[in-house]
Amino acid sequence: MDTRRGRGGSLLKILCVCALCVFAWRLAQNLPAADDTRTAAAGNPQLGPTDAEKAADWATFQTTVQPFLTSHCITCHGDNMPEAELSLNHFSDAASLQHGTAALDKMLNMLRNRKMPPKDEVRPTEDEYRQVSAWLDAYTTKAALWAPKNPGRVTLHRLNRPEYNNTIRDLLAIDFKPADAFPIDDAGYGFDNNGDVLSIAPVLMEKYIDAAGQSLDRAIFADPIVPAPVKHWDAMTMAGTIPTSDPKTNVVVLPGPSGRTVVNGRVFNYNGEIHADYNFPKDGQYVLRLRGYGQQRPMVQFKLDGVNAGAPIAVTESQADISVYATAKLRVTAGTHQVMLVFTNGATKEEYDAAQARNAAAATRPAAVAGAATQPSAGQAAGAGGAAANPGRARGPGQGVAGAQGGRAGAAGRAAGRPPRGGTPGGAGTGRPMLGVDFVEVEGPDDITPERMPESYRKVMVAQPSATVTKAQAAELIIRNFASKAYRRPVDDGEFKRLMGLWSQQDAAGEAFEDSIHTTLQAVLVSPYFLYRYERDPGPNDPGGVRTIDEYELASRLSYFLWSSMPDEELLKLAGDGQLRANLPAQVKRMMADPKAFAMVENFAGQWLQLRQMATVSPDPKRFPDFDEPLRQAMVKETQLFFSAVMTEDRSVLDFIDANFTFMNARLAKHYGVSGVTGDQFRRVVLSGDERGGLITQASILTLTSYTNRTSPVLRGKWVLENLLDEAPPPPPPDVPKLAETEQAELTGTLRQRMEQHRANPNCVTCHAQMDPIGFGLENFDAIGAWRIQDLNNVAIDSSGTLPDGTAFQGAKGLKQILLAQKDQFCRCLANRMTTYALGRGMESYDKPMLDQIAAGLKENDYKFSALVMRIVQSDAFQKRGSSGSDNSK
Amino acid sequence: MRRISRRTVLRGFGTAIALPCLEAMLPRMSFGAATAATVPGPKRLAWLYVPNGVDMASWTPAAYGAGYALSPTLQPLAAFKDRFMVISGMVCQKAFANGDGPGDHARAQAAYLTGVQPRKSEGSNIHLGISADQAAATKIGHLTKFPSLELGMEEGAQGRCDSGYSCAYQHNLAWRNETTPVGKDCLPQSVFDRLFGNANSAESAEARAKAQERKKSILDFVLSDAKSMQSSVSAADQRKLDEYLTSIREIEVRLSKSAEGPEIKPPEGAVRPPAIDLKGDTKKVGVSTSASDYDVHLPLMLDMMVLAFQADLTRIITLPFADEESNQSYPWADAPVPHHGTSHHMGDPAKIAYLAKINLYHMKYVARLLEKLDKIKEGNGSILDNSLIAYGSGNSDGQRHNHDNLPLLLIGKGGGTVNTGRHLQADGVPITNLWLSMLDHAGASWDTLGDSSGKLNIS
Repeated sequence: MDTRRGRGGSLLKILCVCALCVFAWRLAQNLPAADDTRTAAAGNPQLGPTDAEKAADWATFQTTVQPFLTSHCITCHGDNMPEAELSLNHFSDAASLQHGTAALDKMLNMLRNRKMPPKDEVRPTEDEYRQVSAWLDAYTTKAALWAPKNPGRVTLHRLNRPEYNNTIRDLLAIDFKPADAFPIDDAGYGFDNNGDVLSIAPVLMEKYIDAAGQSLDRAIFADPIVPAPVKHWDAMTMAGTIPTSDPKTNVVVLPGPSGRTVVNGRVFNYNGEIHADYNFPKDGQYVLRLRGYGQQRPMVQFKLDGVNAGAPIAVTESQADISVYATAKLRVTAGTHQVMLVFTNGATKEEYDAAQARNAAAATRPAAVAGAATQPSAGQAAGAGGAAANPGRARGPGQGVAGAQGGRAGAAGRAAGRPPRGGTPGGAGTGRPMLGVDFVEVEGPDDITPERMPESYRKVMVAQPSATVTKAQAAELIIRNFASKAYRRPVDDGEFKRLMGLWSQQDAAGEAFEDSIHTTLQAVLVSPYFLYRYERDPGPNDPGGVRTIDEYELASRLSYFLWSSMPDEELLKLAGDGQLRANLPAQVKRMMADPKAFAMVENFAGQWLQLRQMATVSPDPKRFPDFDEPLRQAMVKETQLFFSAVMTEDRSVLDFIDANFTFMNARLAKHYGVSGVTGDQFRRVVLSGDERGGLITQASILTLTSYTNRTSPVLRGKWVLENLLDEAPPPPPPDVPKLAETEQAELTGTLRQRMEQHRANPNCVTCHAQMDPIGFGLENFDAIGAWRIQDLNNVAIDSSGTLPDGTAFQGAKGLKQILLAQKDQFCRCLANRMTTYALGRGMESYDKPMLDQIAAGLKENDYKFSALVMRIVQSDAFQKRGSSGSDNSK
Repeated sequence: MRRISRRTVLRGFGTAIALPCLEAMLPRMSFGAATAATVPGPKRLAWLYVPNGVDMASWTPAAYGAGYALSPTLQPLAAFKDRFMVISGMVCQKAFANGDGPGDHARAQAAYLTGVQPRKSEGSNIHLGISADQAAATKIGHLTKFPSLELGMEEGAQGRCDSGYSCAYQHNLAWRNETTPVGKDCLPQSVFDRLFGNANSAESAEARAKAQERKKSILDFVLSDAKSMQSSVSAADQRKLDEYLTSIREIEVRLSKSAEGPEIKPPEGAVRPPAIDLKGDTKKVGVSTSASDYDVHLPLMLDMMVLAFQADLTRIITLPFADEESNQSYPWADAPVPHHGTSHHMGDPAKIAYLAKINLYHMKYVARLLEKLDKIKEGNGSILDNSLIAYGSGNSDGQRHNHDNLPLLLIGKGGGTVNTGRHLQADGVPITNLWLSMLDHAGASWDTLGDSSGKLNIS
C-alpha cells in the first residue's frame, strides 16, 4: 500500500510544481514508485483503494478540481436540469468521488479536446486545462483499475479493403485485388480497420457482388495449366491425294529473332486432302489444328471420318508468316477416327495440269522471260505483292513451287496479293488459291480434371461428380469446405441446408455443375458471415455480461491482426481441436514469421507512422530537384524494412527511437551521404556517427512532416508527440491559422524568431512550447531528410531546443536521449496504437489498466516486439467480449 | 434442359477474364426518359460542393436583384445569367464550433446538407442526420433505377482527419441517417459501368436474363442470412446490419426494375470513360500535391452526371469537387498551390489571387456542365431547365472558417418554377431552408431538415 501512497505523492508533487511541466509529469510517472504501483495494482485489480488513499484523492480533488468546477462548470452542469444530463455538483466526500468516475470521465474528454466550457463563456487558461486534465487522467486510470473489468466490445466489423483482398487471395489462391475498386474505407482513431466507422452503402454492395463473381470466375473457370496431350503429324508424312513435294524446295522462310527459319511444307497446288488415323483416348473436347500459309486466302476444312468437323478455316494470305489455325473445341468420342484436312477453294487437278502444260511450253521460249524469274527479281515481286514488310527475305510457296517446277517463279510470286491476270498467274499458274501446310495436330482431350488445374481451382472444387459420386454429393463436399473457410468457422446445419437449397435450385434449373457451384459460392462471398467478422455477443448466462470468445473467433482476431487476412488451415484446425489458446505463443510466433505478417508493416506501421502519406507528398521540384520517384520509394522502403526487422528479428521496440542500423540502396545512400552502397537492392547498413538512427532520422518521416518547400518544426514536433508519446497537442483554437503554412521562405533565423513571437501569444504558447523545440532539434535534416549544416542563406543551422521544463538539448541525438528517458511513455503510446489496431476499436477509459499492463509487459521482456504482440493477444480485450462498448454520451 | 455452361461461353469467346457479374444490372428503363419527349421532363436535384470556402470578394456580385452585374468569379456563367440565381447571406449554423472547438472543415462538409451538428467523435459514435439529397430520395428515389447517385473526386486521405472528427464527416455529403454516410464513387469508369452495365456485348439477352435470375437467387439467400444474423446480434450491431439489409434491398428493387423495362443503353455518343488515377502521378513529382489527373477527372465526372440525368437513371446527385481540407493544387488554373493551405491566406494578396483563380477554374467547369445539360432537350426546354442544382461551400472565407454569408448558386429553373436571373439576399437564413425549397420544387417535399426554420422563397 505504501507504493500507492508513493504514487499519490508524486501526483501531488506534479500538480504543485509547475503548470507547464507536462514533460515533468511524464517523468514523474516513470519514477520507480509509480511503476511499482502499477504492477502491484495490476496484480490485484479489484482490490480497491485504501481509506488513506481515498482521503488523499479527495484532498487533491478539492484543491485542484473543485475550484475549476465552481468557476467553469456548475452553472450549466448543476443539479437542476443539468446540460447534457451531466451533473458535476455531487462531489461532497471521498465516497462520492469514487461513485462519480463516469462523470469525471466525460469531463476529461471534454477538457482534453477543449470542447468545454463553451466559446462564449469564460475559458480556463491552458495551464488550468492541463492541471485539471492531468488530475482527471490519473484519477480515472486508477478508478478503472478498481472497477470491474470490461474487455470492451468490438462493433460488428466488416472487412476493409486490404483485408478483403488478402482474404480472397488466401481463400482462392488467386492473384486478384478486387477491393482496389471499392470505395475507400473511412478511418477512425487513426486506423482504417475501425469497426464503428466501416460501413456498407449500396455502391459497395454492388461491388461485393461483382467482386465475388469475378473472383470465383478466376478460380472455377480457370484454364488448365497442364496442357492437354497433343498428337502431331508432319504434313509431309501424311497420306492423301496431294503428292508429297520435294522437301528441299518446298520451303517458307520465316523472319525470326535468330534469323531465318526454313520450314518444310506440304504444298497444295490444287484441291485435295491429306489424312491420318488417330486413336482418340477418351470422350472429350478436342481441337484440330494446322500450321500453314497460302496465297489468295485458301480455305480448308477438317473432317473426322469424312464428316465436317468445325467451321471452314480461312488461311491468311501471307508470304512472310506462317500461322497456326485451329477449330473450335469439338466433342469427340473415344476410338480411332480418321483426321482429314481438305483444301477446298483451289484449282482442280485438271486446271493445274493444264497450267503446268502451258508453263512447260513457255519455258522453251527465249531466255529473256525466264531471266525475269531469277531469285532476286522473284523476291522483289513477292515483296510488292503480299510481303512488303520484308521484301527479299520472305518467300511464299509460289517461289518454292515454281522453283520445284523449274519454271515461272516470277509470275507466281507477282500473283500473290493481286487478282489473277489472264490465265497465267496464281497457284502454279492456275490463278487460284494455293496452300502450304507444315503440320497437323490434334489436342485433347481438354477436359477439366483436377490434375490439370491450378491450385485456385483445386482449392474450391474439392470434389467432382463421377460414376460413383453424385452431383449432390460433390456439391455438398465443395460447399461445406468452402463456406467453412469463408465463414472462418464450420458452417452450421441450418446454413448448410440453405446453401444446398440454393445449389439444388440452380441444379434443377439445368445449370452446368460448375455454374451451380459458382452461384452458390458467390452467395457465400456476399453473405454477412463472410463480409463481417461476426462474433457472438455475451448471453444472459455469461457472468458479468462478458464471454470468452471461442477459438474460431480467436483465430480470426489473430489472423486479421497479424496478417490482415483470414485464418489459415493450421489456425482453423487448432481452433477445431480446441487447442489454439493452449498454443497461443507458438502460433503467434509462427504467424509473425510468416511473410503474410508484412501486412503489419503495410497496415499498422503504414498508419501508425503515417507512412502511407508518402504516396502523396510532393516536394517542390525547384527547391529539391534531387527528389524523384526512386527516392520516394526508397524512403518508404527503408522505414518498412526497418519496422519489419524490429518485428521479425524480435528486437527491442526502443530501436524505433534509436538504432545503429537501417536499410539502404544506392539511391538512399547517396541521399544520406553514405558511401559503399551500390545497386537498387536494399541491404542492412550499420550506422556510425550521430546523424542517423531511429525513425525520426529517416527521410520518410522527415519528409512527410515537412512542407513542400521547407521544414516544419511544428509538424515534426507534433508528429513526435502524437505518434511516439501519445501526447497529441490539442488542435489550435479556431481562427488561428497554422503559422505560415505555405510560407515560401526557408526556415531561417527570421522565421525562427517569428515562431517564437507566435509562441508569445498565450493561446499558442503552451502547445508550441512543446512542439517547436522538438522540431528545432531536427533542423539538421532538410525537407526531404537530407543532412545539412547550413540553410539556403549559408546561415549555420541551429538545432538546439529547450523543452518547457528547461531541459536543453542539441540536435537529433539529444532529442533521442530525451525520448529514451521517456521510454515508458513511448511503450504506453505504442501499446495504445497497436491495441487500437489489433482490436479495431478506439481505446476507452476502462482500457487504461490494460494498456498499462501491456506496456509493463513490454518492459519486463526487454522491450521485445513479440512481448508487445503477446501481451495484446493475451489481454482480456483481445480474448473476451463484453456487452457494452463505447460510452455513447461522450 | 441442359444449358451451355458459362465456362464454355467464356472460353469459347476466348476472353481471358471475367464474365461481368453486374450484367444483370443492365439498365432496363421503366420510367423517365422514354416519356420525356411527350411530357415535361422530371425534375433533377444536384448538389455540387467546393471545399475551403471561396474568395468572397471575387465571388459576391455588388448589387442585389434582377439587374445585378456578374462578379469576376461568376463570369464563366455569363451565357446562362437568366438560368441561375446567386443567393447571398445564408448560414450553416451547425458548422460553427458551438462549443466543440476546432474542426471547421469536418463540420462544414458534414453540416452542409444535414443542418445537424456532427458529434465530435473519432468513430465510436459518429452521429449526424439525414442529408437533403437522401431526404429527397425517400420521396422520389423510387422513380428511377438509382434513388440517388453519390459521386466524388477524392477518395480522401487515410489516417487522421480534422481535429478529432472521424474522416466519415469530411469525406461525405450524403448521409442516409444519423449514423450512415452513403459512400461515394470517385471513378468515372465505375460510375459508367454501374449506370449502363459492363456486360459483354456479345452476350445474348437470354444469358443476361439468366444472370439476373442467378443474382436474384443470391440476393434472396444473403437476405435470409442477414436476417438470421440479425436475430442473434445485440442492438448495438443492428445499425451495421441495417446498412447491409438496406443495400441488399436497394439492389433487389433495382433488379426488379431492370427486369420490368427495356434495356437502357448509353445515350448516343456516350463512351466508357478512361481509367483515372486518383492518387496522382507519382512520376510527376512536385507537379501537384494531389491528383494530377484532376483536370481530366472533373469533366469526366460531370459527364457521368449528365449521362445519368439524360438516361433518367437517377434524379438526385451529389458531387463534391473536392473534400474539405483538400490540398489539391491547380496548375491548369495557374494556381499550382495546395488549396487548403492557400485558403489560409492571412490577407496575402498573392494567395487570395490564387484562390480566386481556383474558384474561377471550378466555375468554368460548372459552365461546361450547364452547356451540356442545356443541349439535351426535354419538352419545350432542356434538362437544365428541369434542374435544381446548388453550387456552394460550407465555408465562406477559408481564412476565417466562417459558416455564414456562404457562397451559393441555385442553377436551373426547376421546370420553370424558379425565379432565376437575380441576386437574392437571404442574410442569416439557414441553408437548409433552401434545400427544403429545392425539394418542394422537385416534388419531394420534406417538412424540416436539421436546423431549418422554414423554406426560402425561390419562386
